[in-house]
Formats: sequence, C-alpha cells, structure tokens
Amino acid sequence: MPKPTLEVLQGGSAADSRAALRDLYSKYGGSVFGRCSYLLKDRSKAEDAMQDVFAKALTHLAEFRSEASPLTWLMKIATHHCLNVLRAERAPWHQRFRRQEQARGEGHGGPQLFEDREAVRHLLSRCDLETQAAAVHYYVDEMTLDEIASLLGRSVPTIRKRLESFTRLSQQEYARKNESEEKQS
Amino acid sequence: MTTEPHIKEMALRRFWAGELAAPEKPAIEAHAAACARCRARLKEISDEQRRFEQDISFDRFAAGVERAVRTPRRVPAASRGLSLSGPTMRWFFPLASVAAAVALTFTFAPRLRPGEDATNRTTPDRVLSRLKGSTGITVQIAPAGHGPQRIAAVTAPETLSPGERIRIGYQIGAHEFVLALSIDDQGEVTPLYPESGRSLQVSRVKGPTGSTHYLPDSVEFTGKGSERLIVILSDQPLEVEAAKQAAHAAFQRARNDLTHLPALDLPGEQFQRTFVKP
Repeated sequence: MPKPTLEVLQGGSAADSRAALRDLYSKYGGSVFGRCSYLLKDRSKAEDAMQDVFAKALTHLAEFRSEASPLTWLMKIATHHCLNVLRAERAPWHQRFRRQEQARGEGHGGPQLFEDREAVRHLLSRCDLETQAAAVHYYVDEMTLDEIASLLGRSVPTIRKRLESFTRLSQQEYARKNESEEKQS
Repeated sequence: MTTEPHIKEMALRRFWAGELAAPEKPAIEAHAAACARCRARLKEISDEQRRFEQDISFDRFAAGVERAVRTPRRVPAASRGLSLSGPTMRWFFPLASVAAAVALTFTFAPRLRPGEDATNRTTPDRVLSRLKGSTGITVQIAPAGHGPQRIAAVTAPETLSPGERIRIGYQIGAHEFVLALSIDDQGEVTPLYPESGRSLQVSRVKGPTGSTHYLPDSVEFTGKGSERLIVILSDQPLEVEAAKQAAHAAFQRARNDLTHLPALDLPGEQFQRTFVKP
C-alpha cells in the first residue's frame, strides 16, 4: 500500500511548520475533533484533547511519518488520550464531587441508549482501557480484528477476547434494560 | 443501488483524507457512485470537517497545538498497554485518588513540628494567607524522596526542586466550596480542583471547625518558569470556566507579569502562592 504524502515532518522553517499544521487541520481536524467530542462529550475538553493529539503528532514526527495511515495513527492516539481522560475523571473523588452533574446529564441514557455508537460509549466505562480502545475501533471505526490487533500491538485472539467480553457486557446490559422495562410496564 | 458490502468507516475517512491510492481508491469511488449510504457517509465526513473549520479557525487550532507542544497539559496517568509516551507531563496526579470529604490517606502526609497542634496551628504563613476573613489555606511541599516537608512561602516565590510535590489544605467550616487553579508565566491556566464543572463542595467534611483538611492527591509542577497557584474558598459554587476566564483577565491586567497578578474578579476569599519550577 503506498504511503500518503503528508508533509509535516521536515522540521524546517516556521513557514514549513505552519504549512504542515494546515495540512493536518484540513485533512484530519474534523475526524480527530469528532472522536474527542464523541468520547468526552464536552466541547472544551475535546478541543484541549485534540490539541494534545496533534501536538503529539508534531513531537513524534518519526513515528508519525512511518505510519501507513496518519489518520489511523491519529485516531488511535485520540482514542487512547480521551479514554485516559475519562478514566482519570472516574477516580473516586471525581465521582463524589460530580455525582450531581452526572445524574443530571446521563443518568438514564434516554431513548438513544441503545443506538449503536451511544451504546458503545455508554458501556465503555465498565471495561478496562484496552477493551475500551478495541471496542471503539471495532464498533465506531469499523476496523477489522486484524487492523485493531496491528494498531494496538496485540494478537488477534487477544483482541477477539476483548471484544467478546465487551459483547457479553452489552448483552447483559440489554437483558438488564429489558427486565427493567418489563417491570415498569 | 449496490449489493456490495458497505465501505467501512475508517476506509471512508482515509479515502476522504486522500490517503488511499489504487486499488482501494478507484474501488471506493466506484462503490460510492452506486451506493447512496456510503455517499451519505462521505458527505457526513465532509460536513464534520466543515463544521470543525467553522467552529475552530485555523489560527486558533495552530495556536492551541503550538501551545500544547511548548507546555504539554497534564495527561492522566496511562494504564498498561495504553501509555502515551509523550513529552514531559506538566502535571501528574497519582491514580490512587481519594475523596476529599473523608479521612485522607495522604500521598505524602503533612507532618507537624513537635508540639504543634493540627487544629489550631498558627504560623506566620497562615496569618499572612488570610487576605480577608478568618479562613486560610496551607500549601505543603514534600520532596521527591524522604526528607523534611515545608510550607510554601506566602510573600515570596517558592523555588521547587525536581520531584517536589505540593498539597493544598484548607480550613474547614467557614466556606462551603473550594476551587483551585494555576496559571503559568505564559498565561496558560490549568484547573486543578476540579478540572471542570463547578467548585468542590467541602461543607460536609467532618472535623473541628478551623482544622485543616487536605485536598486529595498531590500535584507536581514540571516544565520551566513560574506557576501561580490560586485557591478560592467561597460560599457559592464557582464555574471552572468562569474562573479560567477571570484568571486570563487578571493576567492581562497584570500585563502578562505573573508577579503582579491581581486577585481574580470572583466572589470568595482568594489565596495565592507562586512557585518557581525546577
């Protein structure tokens, strides 16, 4: 597969750097910002996260340059970064102090709960980080097991196991929701 | 109309970004020409980029990325297998967080000098920190390894050694809410407690009125230059975003000189400490 010709990495003049940034902005800005917004659900945090992701691209030029797909690399970094942000926010003291806010925001999930992408996002908090990343790349990015395994540096069987555990969790969630609805009706 | 399987999301995005060549590119072009669903997805991707460019101008984007390169934000500690081996973290919180409203297990335990009473201790720092009213804060500094701890100076910048961490203590009973943030000498504001939302409610903390309770975790300043810590005790919750804006405004009023930063235009009692990073 031919490598894309993204000119970000020359490290030359300020003008070169600016041109490289513009290239990143116009090709990948929407996708990366969209991923950060999807996971973080907060515009301000998403913008901060997006800046961190592109900053990482600029400061890890060799790694970035060697990627077959800069977009896939950026989406992996964005996903991991946002999942780590969410993980930090779920620390006990955050939960305690943000309980009211959480209850107000997404306490019940609403009618969109089981719409695919939202359902994935809703369940993420109940998995380990690697499973979270695998689920996002599988269900949201629609990547194959091979692609995810390669992206995350794990074997295909490992990724399969992670996704199976995520599927079991979603089935339990469906069952729990159905049971709850039956009781209500 | 096509009966072929739809193009996967990532492949569509790569196609849109111009990353694909033959044979993928012409195959997707041919599929999209016949598939309304995939054409619609491509339009959505295009619309997403258009909305992004409307919301965030290129200048704003570039400034934000360049700032993040210069002074990386605090990145939450990564877990196994998902480490972002990025630049030096600006902030680091240990993962073992605890609730502020319960008895704390300190990352480092503030120690008292012999004969000093935790409840009614009165040191020069604490007296000076009372800008108004009867409440105050204590900012404790612990070294990277074992060694004596100290209280951050109030009237002069406190020079930190590598690995030193700070912990913020407040007197309970007089105010219901606490909010802490910092601003560096480039004017970048970092919310600390909490990182978003509204002030932390501390009125339920148990303990004798006037005794010192410490916020969970400790904070390490990394990078270069100076950092001003601002702690606001208030009776009404403050929005973190409003506090950030007030800090930016104060920085501008100080003509970008951190040493002359005025009080933020916010209700409550404010306490500031300045640190020179190692």
